[in-house]
Amino acid sequence: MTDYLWDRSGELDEDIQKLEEILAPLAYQPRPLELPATAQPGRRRNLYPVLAIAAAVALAALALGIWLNINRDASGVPQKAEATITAAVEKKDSPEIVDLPLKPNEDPKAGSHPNPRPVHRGTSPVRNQLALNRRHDRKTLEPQTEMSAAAALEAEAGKEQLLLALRLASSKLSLAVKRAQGGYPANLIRNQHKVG
Amino acid sequence: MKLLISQSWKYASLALLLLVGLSATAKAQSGRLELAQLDALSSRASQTVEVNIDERLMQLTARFLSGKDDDERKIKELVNGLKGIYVKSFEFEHEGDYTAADIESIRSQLRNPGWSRIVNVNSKKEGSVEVYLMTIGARVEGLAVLATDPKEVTIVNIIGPVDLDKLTELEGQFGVPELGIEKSKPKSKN
Repeated sequence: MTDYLWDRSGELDEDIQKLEEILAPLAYQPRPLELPATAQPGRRRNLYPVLAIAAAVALAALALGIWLNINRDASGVPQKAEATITAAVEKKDSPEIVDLPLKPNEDPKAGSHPNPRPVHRGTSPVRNQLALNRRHDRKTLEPQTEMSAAAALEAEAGKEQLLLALRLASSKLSLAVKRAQGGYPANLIRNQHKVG
Repeated sequence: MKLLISQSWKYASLALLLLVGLSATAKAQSGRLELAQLDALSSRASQTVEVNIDERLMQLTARFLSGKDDDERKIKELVNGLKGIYVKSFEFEHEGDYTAADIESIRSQLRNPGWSRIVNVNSKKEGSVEVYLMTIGARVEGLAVLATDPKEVTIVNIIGPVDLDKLTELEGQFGVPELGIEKSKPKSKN
């Protein structure tokens, strides 16, 4: 082994010289980089973040829509006038729901009927009169009358529910206050919401 | 393509997380309790009372309340500004028909910041009554009353600036006597 192959010093072998001559055209020759005319460096944009953000926004909008829909359904109150008011009180031993159709000539705004007519069925307790599910025969009324009657009917049912809720809230609050203040007649206040 | 999908999922997850967080925060700050979990109790209860009045129905009802009648005027003043009243009450035949776990979902909501318990009365025999208020600054945003006894669970949730004194004063009014009478005749109204 000569040092020629290491650092080009020392004696040169003929075979190596021939090989060098043969391979010389393939040796590295420094020259500037030539890009093809069609290549346009810097023009290509990364669209991934934009597409990802768009997808995220679309998903968020979808989720928002679902959430709003669920939230609206969970409110439990009909959104349209023709929808029925849910029953306020139910009892297992008399589970029937009383229907009170509105008569065409009945004016719900009239003050002479602040509360719905009680309907007794079998041995249902009086408090089950609150279990009302009213339907309105829309075909028998003019549109204008129909709208106001439905609204009045809904308001009337809402008033019943409101009174029931306020009674309950008031009785429980009073119970809390009285018990917090000491001696109280617990049996007198308990289950007061059954009344009416 | 894989990069696109992974990036999309990352951004979508973040957006959803943000959305859920915002909605949960908004709901928690609104004074509205999620009561739907209690519906499971209705199958075991002998009597169920449920009232759902949202802001729209509240406003509609308030419009139909007479300003001339004293009782109705009081109600009108009380509900003015309220955004909803939700009540669920369950009565059971036997003790033990419901457990504390059944109402834990409500209690956990009431443990959230914003709610503060102003009254808590406990009795083994008579059960407990807890009154919670949600306040933002000095403004009352909601009221919750959780009353439980061995055979009854009642939750009242009022959303909005409720006047506790006026609400407490309502007891025994509107033709409903304070004592337990099964039927009462409503006052005649103009």
